Amino acid sequence: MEDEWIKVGNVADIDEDDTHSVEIDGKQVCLYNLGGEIFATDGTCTHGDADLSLGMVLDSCLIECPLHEGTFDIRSGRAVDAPCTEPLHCYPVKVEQGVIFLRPVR
Amino acid sequence: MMEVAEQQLLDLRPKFKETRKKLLSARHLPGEVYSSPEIYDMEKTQIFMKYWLSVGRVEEIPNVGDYYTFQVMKESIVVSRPAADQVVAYMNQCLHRGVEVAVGRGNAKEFSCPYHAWLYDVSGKLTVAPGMKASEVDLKNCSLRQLHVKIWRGWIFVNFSDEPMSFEDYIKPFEEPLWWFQTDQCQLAQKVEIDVKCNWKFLVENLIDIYHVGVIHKGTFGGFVKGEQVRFNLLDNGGWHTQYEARPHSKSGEQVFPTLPWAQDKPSGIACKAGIYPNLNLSMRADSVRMWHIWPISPTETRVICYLLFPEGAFSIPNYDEEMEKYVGFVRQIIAEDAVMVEGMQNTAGSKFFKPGPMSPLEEALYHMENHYIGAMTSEAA
Repeated sequence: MEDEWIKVGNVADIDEDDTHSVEIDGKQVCLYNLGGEIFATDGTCTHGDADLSLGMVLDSCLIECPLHEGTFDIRSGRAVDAPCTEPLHCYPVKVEQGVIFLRPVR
Repeated sequence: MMEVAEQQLLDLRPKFKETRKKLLSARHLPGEVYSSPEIYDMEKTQIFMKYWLSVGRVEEIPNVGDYYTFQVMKESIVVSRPAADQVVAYMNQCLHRGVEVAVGRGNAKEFSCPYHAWLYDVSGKLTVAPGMKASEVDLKNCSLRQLHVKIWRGWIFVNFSDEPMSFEDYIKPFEEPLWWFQTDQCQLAQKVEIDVKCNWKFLVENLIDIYHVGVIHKGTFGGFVKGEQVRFNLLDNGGWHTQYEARPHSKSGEQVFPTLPWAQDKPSGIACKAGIYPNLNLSMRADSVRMWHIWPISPTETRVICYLLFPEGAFSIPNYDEEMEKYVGFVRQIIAEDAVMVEGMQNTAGSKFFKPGPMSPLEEALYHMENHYIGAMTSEAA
């Protein structure tokens, strides 16, 4: 149900400026820890068939895809550096007592 | 390998002398040029990497982003349309380790090399080289090696040379004589591909050998060609053209497709042929036009690709599919009838017992091509 918040992990599982991959209903989702704040996007790059959780977080706000080194803004999903052009889907996230919840809404 | 080939060609000089005599005393080229792997390799350098080569039709890549891959004697290339009015061709060799970045044909915005994901746009420009941030080699403004491209009457011609001969100068002697080859007013109907186990030159020669037509092709179209009346116009660039009388190019001899618009005022039995060196044979009848491309695969193997073209009107005849199938079958049958002979010549080409025979006046176009070949292959080696 899209309206429901699903528990997907703990803040302690993700280092700062790092990523963590989870699977929700067969779909790859990538979680990010940016200065203690948690974000979530689709795990697959919109440009090529690559796992964004294997990429690098740059400038504490961008995710660089490991395949062709294009980037997205983690906070908005906006495609920033070429060759990425299509925006990345972002999920609403909330944290309660160190537990990360996500709403799988599209 | 070049030294070995050059030595072989030097040793063949006395036999080449026989080919260079006037037509009525001349003998065909010696078997060695059809069987030697070293001479074959040298043909790649002296001929295929120098001459303008047709590699296809513009309507094979109609839309922006369309591309196809092709091979010329193991050189892999991409032909693509990066913009509406632009056709390019480039080496299909990743700038990193040289593997092919594109495969098959289709439509793409970019190619990601399957090995290390170096990314190229459809014009061949390197857009991203991942993992190379720390490299001190300048990878900006790099591109897969572009070939020279010229579009002529809808055909995509490429040249592998850095400084090719002028295409316009090369094609000029053909422009007027090829009034019957209005292929910019045509669309590709079908490509017929046939593999034959013989040296490419045997097939090029066979396609202009009218001498055998009444014998080998009696069952298909042989009865209709009045061989003795054919006269060849020979061009300095190794090309030739001719016009004679036959029947429309179908098994029954009946005209099947509508008369070509530019042949409306011509006799229905008109037949025109031409050769563009090294490997193109152009042919026309009142209702159809086609160009055979003869591609060397190895010293003893060749791929024939025959492009069948029609102007618009032909595609909408009521029984088009049925007639196309018959036409394709007819084309395959012609090559099948020739295959036994050309493969037989290939078998003999390596035999020390074979002495090339004298030429018939009917073989004037072969004489012209065989002598042009000697010039192309020995001008440097001489």
